[in-house]
Amino acid sequence: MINVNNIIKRYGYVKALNDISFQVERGEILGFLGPNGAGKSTTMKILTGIISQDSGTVSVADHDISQNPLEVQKRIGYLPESNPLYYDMRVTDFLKFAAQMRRISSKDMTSVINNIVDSCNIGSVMYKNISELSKGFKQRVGLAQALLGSPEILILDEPTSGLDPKQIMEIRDLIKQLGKEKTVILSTHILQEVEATCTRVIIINEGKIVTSGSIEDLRRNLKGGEAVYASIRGDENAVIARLQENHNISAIDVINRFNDGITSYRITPVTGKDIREDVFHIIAKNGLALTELRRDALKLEEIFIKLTAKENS
Amino acid sequence: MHNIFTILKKELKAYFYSPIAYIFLTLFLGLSSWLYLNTLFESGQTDIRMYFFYYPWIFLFFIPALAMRLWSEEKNTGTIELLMSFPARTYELVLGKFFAGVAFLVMAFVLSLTVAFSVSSIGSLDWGPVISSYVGATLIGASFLSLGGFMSALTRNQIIAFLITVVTAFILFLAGTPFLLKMLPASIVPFVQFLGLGGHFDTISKGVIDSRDVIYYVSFMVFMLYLNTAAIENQRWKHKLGSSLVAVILLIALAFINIISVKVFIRTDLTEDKLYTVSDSTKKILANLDDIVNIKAFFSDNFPEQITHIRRQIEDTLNEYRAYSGNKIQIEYIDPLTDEETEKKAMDLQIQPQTPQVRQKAEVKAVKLYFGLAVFYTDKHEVIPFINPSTFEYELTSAIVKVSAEKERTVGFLTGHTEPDMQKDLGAVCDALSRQMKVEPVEIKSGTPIDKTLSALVIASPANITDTDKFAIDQYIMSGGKVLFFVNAVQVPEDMPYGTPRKHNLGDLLEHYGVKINTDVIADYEYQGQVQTRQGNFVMSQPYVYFVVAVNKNMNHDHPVTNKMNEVIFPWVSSVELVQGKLAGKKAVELVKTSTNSSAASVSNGVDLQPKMEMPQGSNFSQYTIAVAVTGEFDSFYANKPIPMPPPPKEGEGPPPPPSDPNSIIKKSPETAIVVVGDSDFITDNFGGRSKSNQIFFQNLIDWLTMGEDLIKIRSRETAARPIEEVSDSKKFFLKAASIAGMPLLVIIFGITLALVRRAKRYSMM
Ligand SMILES: Nc1ncnc2c1ncn2[C@@H]1O[C@H](COP(=O)(O)OP(=O)(O)OP(=O)(O)O)[C@@H](O)[C@H]1O
Ligand SMILES: [Mg+2]
Repeated sequence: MINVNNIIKRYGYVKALNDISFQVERGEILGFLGPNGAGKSTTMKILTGIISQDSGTVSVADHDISQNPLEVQKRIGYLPESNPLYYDMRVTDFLKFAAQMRRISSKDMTSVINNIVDSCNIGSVMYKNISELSKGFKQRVGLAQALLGSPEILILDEPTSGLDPKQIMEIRDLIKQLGKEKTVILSTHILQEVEATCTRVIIINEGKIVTSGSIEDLRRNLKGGEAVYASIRGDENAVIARLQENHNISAIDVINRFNDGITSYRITPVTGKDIREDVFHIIAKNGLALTELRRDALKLEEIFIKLTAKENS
Repeated sequence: MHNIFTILKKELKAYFYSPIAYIFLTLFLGLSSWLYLNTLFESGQTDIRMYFFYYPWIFLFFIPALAMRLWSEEKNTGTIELLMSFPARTYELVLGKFFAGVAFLVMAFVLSLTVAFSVSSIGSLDWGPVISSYVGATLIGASFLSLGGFMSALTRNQIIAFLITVVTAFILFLAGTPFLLKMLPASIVPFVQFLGLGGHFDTISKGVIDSRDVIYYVSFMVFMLYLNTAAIENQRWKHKLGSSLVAVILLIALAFINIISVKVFIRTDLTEDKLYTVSDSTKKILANLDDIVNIKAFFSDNFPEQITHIRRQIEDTLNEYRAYSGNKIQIEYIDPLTDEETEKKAMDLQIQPQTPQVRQKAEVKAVKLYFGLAVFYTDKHEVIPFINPSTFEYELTSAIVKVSAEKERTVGFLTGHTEPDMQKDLGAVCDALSRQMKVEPVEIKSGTPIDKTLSALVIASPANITDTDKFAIDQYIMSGGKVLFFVNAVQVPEDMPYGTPRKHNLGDLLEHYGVKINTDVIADYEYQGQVQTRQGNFVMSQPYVYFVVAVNKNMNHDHPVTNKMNEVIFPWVSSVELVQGKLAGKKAVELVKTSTNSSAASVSNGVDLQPKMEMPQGSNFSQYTIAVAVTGEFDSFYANKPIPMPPPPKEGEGPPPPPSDPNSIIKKSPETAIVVVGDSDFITDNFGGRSKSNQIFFQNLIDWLTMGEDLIKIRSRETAARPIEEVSDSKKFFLKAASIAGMPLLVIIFGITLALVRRAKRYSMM
């Protein structure tokens, strides 16, 4: 569906994108992850034909974006970063305008708009000026605009930023819903969002793709294997000293100290080893009390920080 | 197209859903009509050019304000990304926004029509210049808009966009005005003048839509719109080099188009009287030329920049002459200042230079200008010593007519009956006439007929016409002669305002031809001249009802003599009537009438003609005819009468002439014409003869009788005055208020209503 090959984009001396390539298949929900200034928005603007790359090619549905930007733009609904809208317009006028720009015939106009108004739940604000809406409603209007004309591809730049948790849930559900028929690319800083909605992730940093794949792949491929989370009552130093004697354990981090003398640790094994039994035996042997023991899968945050930190160093 | 229209609608709504539209409309409508209407009533003319004169100046500030938001706002709020993500080409966005601005301007113009309608309600307004001025205003306004749009595309800051636009527009506008031109070296003046936005507006607003001006403005817009598109595109796609190259090519192409358009152009003159076009009459005369006419134009090359456009205008006119003559007219331009020999040639032809004071590079000096021409045909030539642009066509065409005419016209003035003296009393009109024709006195010698070859005979203020004189006049008419009867039926002594009947003895003759002169004197209480009266040491000017002033609305509009005439003064005029019973087979027209507030007093028993201050109570007011023209075949007054015998000769005057042969009497005339006016003072130096309109009225009469209607039609264009009617102060106030405050108020009410409706709808949905 979308083919991005070796794009480079400079802003003056800043290399915003440095040789980025990726593909997106029909029906995927692709999450774009990366720290501030990584180049997420830049990539999206290139995909939507708002700016052009300096080199490399982008094709959408077999149309090259430099040759045939209109064909590409017809297929894409776009929610720009920070959701700019015409604040002086009323919601209804704005949606009509956007629908006309998207070549929806006046015959279908009412039904198309009504559908979208229902699915984005903005019927109550139709005759208000956009400037009067709360941030959440503005976001929904922006989303509604992107959905007009049911484009095959949705590109959403931080669709949930600044929303309250309930609204975030709603929008995520909506995106998942849409993802059944459409190809979606969304960027975000919120990692749960990717975990909750995306089928695939691309992490970029400083204009380069650091990694990409399904979330499980990412977790699995990350070095350091699977750590163990343990809460143990007893002297901290003693616990650490005993644990370090085991050859399968490579690192021990204190995570938390509780009032009742219990301390929680993350115990990281040497690659590929399951150390839960070892830990249990060591604790039991030394007369300490094990109050909790479980596998501690790496959170996406940690993957993210690890990956991007590595790049930085 | 579809996208352009969608953007257009959205932008237009944006104007009206925000306060901008209302602020703009209110200020624009109020300010423009205030500036104009303030001086309208003082000027006394329905000239609407002063109204449009202010337009570009108002535009200089208002249009940048309209244009500044077009792109800057989108950039500032980020909506430009939204806009650019839609499947539309950049130029469609640019054009949509541009045409929205133009549409808004046109709306403002429609609302401003109140001014034109106000003016037309109090006088006859020439709508041609109004239409062309609106076309011009749209063009210059749209040009400013395209400039403002481009500037707005360069920055996200509206204030900066506004300021740059104002400054650039100001420079471009001033470039075409004399103010800036006189500071420049002469060689680049025409170029800069052409580039200036202002000069082109001048020509359009006077009533001529010229392809050169239109193409200039459109080129300007095309270039600015291209730059606007390129500015937006360059922020999206990086091909700065390519677009600069295209810009240069486009600029060259547009320059090329303009260079060609200056050479090959069409123009339509929208003024009602075709003031800036060679008239049909001239075209007809030119088409009938049967030999080459050479025109030598002695124009010096040292024209000050400020007036080169006048010279260009004249050259354009000459080119039209050549075209309409089918190249029978050949034009040669000569600069008399090239060498002494050439200058002498001009001098020999009576081409006279003028030396106006001209400011050049901060110093004022006298410049010797040649601006005359000579028309050569066979062995004859006519000269226009120095061209006056406003009468140029009439002068040139009459010069051509004169050199190419088979024979010169001769107008005779009857003498020998205490008529006014041609030098002493009729100097002004005779002077004017003698530039066109020969003027000579005519004496009726007993028994000899009046020379048939006279083009026309003027009988002004005759007294005691004898029967033999009448017979001679009658036979002159019967042989196809044309006569102007200016009959004074009232005798007023020089030192006393008291009227008695004057024995002109022409009553029966004229009545036979179908015109009756009444022995009365007309007082017009609506339009009258002034007299000066002495009271002790004071000389006072006061209205004098016995000096009737005929105004255009009381003239015959279908007659070439009078249709454009205005303000002809007739002192102590008597009424004339058409005698319908005598007019069978002839065509009689009433040329001039008094106002409807006039009264006629019989002078049979003498009448006091002291200035009156008040309108007399109880008189009957009505409208009186004071000049008529009759054309057709006339029957002789003496057809069934004995031929009057000449009086016996006095001592020492030789033998009595032989009586006319009764068989030689002509009983019926060929097609000919006479004019009868109930007054002759209107052409004498002491009364009306020095007034330009009186002279033109008289010349029109003579030309109509002797040359056909062609030349009159040209001359009448010079005099097209369009006075404002007398209006009451309350009407003045109403008209001013309607345009200055009324329209802006309507606009504001509309805005508030719209806002309220939108608000109501908003809350009804909650
Ligand atoms: N218009 C611009 N002019 C100059 N530099 C820019 C411009 N837009 C982006 N950049 C630079 O390009 C790089 C990538 O920016 P981009 O907006 O794509 O990051 P991002 O991943 O969307 O960041 P964020 O998470 O903060 O939105 C940054 O270094 C940024 O400073
Ligand atoms: Mg971003």
